Amino acid sequence: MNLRNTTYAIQEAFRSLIKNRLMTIASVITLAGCLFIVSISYCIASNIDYLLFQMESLLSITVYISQDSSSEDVNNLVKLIRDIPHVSNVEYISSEDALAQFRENLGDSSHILDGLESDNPLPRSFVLDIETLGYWDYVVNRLDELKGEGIDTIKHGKQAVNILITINNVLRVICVIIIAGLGIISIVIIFNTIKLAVNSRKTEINIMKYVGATDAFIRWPFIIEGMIIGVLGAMVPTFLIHTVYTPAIELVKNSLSILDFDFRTRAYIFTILIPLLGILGVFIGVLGSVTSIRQHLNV
Amino acid sequence: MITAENLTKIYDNGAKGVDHLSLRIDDGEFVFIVGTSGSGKTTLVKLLLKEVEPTEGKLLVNGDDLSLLTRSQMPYYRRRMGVVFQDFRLLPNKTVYENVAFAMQIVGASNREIRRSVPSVLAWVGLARKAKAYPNQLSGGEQQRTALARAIVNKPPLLIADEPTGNLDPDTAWDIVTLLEDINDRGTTVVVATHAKEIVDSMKKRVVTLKNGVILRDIEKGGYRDES
Repeated sequence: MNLRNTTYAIQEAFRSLIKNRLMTIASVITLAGCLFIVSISYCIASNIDYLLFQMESLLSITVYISQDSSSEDVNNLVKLIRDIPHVSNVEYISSEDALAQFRENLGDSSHILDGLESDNPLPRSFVLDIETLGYWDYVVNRLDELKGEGIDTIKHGKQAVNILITINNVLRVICVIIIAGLGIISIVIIFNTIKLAVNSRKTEINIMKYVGATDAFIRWPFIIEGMIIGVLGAMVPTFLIHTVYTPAIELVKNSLSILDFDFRTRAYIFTILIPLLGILGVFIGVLGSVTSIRQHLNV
Repeated sequence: MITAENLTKIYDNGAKGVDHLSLRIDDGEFVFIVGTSGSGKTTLVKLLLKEVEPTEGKLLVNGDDLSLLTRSQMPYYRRRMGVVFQDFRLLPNKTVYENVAFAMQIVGASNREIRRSVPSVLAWVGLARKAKAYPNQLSGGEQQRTALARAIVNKPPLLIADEPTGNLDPDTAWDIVTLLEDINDRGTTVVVATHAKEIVDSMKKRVVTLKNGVILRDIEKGGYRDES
C-alpha cells in the first residue's frame, strides 16, 4: 500500500467511524464490556496466585533433633539437610529458643513454665522452608531417609499442604476457564457487531468492486476501523481498572486485615494488563473486520 | 472491442441467460441491446462485467479473454470500462465530487489530477453546482449524471450502461442519452442495454435485439419496433 492509499484508508476509516457513530459506539461498548470482565478475571487470578504464593512461604517443615545427638551430629545433620534440593532455608532452633518462643505464645500464662530453664524438656529443631509446595513430598521423603542421622520426628502438616495445593490448582483452572471463555464470547460478540457494520455497507463494497477497486483498497479502511475500535475498546477497561483497582484492593485488605497478606500493586497489574488488553482489543477488532468483509469481496 | 463467440450462460436453476450468442462490437460504436424482460440483456451485461462466468463460449473485451482473467486482474479489467446502472449505485456517504473522485483515487491518481479532472467532468455533465451535494439530495437525473461522470472520469475506452434511463422521466432520460451520445462522439465505445423504445427509435443507432438469449436481429441504424 503506497502513501496515497494509506492516507486514503486512514481518512476513510475515521470518516466511516464518525458517519456510523452509533454502530461504532455499540462496538466499542461491547468490546469494552467484555475486556473489562477479562480484566477483572485477570486481576482476581493474579491476586489469588499471589496470595497462594505468600501462603506457601508461610508453610514450613519442622525437624526435631534426637535428644542424644551431639553438637557434631547436629552440624552434620544441618549439612545433609541443606544438601536436599529445593530446601530454600534452614533455621536452627535451640531448646532455649524453643522455650522463649513457647513463653511468648503463652503470654500471661507463661509463668507455668517457670523453673524449666534448668531442665528444659523442649527438643532442638530445624525449621525448613521449601521453594514451592510442589516439592513438599519430595523433601519429606528425603528427610525420612535421614532419620538415622539424628532426626527424632518430622512435623509437616501434609494434609493441609495437600488441601492448599488442590485449592491452588482448582483456582488456576477456574481463572483460565473464565479468561478463555470470556475471550471467546467477546470474539463472537464483536465479530457479529462488526459484521452488522460491514453488512450495512455491502452495497458500498459492491460499488467499489464495480468501479475497479482492489480487495486491499477496500479492505484496509475496514482493518484500520477495526484497529481503532479495538484500541478504544481496550482503553475503557484500562481507565476503569486504573480508577477502581487501588480502592478495591484497600477494601479487600481491610476486610481481611487479620491475615496480613500483600496484594498485587496497580503498577504490577498494568504491566501485564495494558499489553494484554491492547493486543486482545486490536486482534478482535481486526479479526472481526477481516472475516466479516471477506464474503462481500467476491463480486 | 467486444467479441462474443458462441456465448452461453445457463444459471444454476436451469434458466438460460444467453444461448450460443455471437456478437462483435467495434471500437467507437454506439450499440443498443434491446429486448423484453428475460431476453438476456442483463445476462450479457453481467458477462461483460465478469459478474457471472459463461457456461460455454468465449468473450473478449478490450483485447482481454475474460476466461483467462484472474481474480487479482479483475479490478484492472474493470478500470478500463465505465459502467452505469439503472439504480445509479452511488456511494451514499460521499458527495457528488467525492463519488467521481473515488474512481480516480482507485486508479492511484494524484490529488492534483483529481482536482483538475473532477470539476471539468462535473461541469460537462451539468453538475458543477451540485458538487457538494450527497446522492440523497439529488434528483434521479442528477444521480445518473453523477454516475456518468464517475464512469468517464478515467477516460475508459468502453462504457456499458444497463437500463440507464429506467428510473427517469422522459425529459431526463433524453438528457442522459444525449450525454451518452456525446461520450461516444469523443471516441468511447458505448453499449446501452435498454427497453426505452422511443429513445432507441429516435437515435437511429445500431440495435441488437435479443429474445430468449439469442440474437433476433442486429440492424445498423435500427429501431426498437424492428423487433416484431
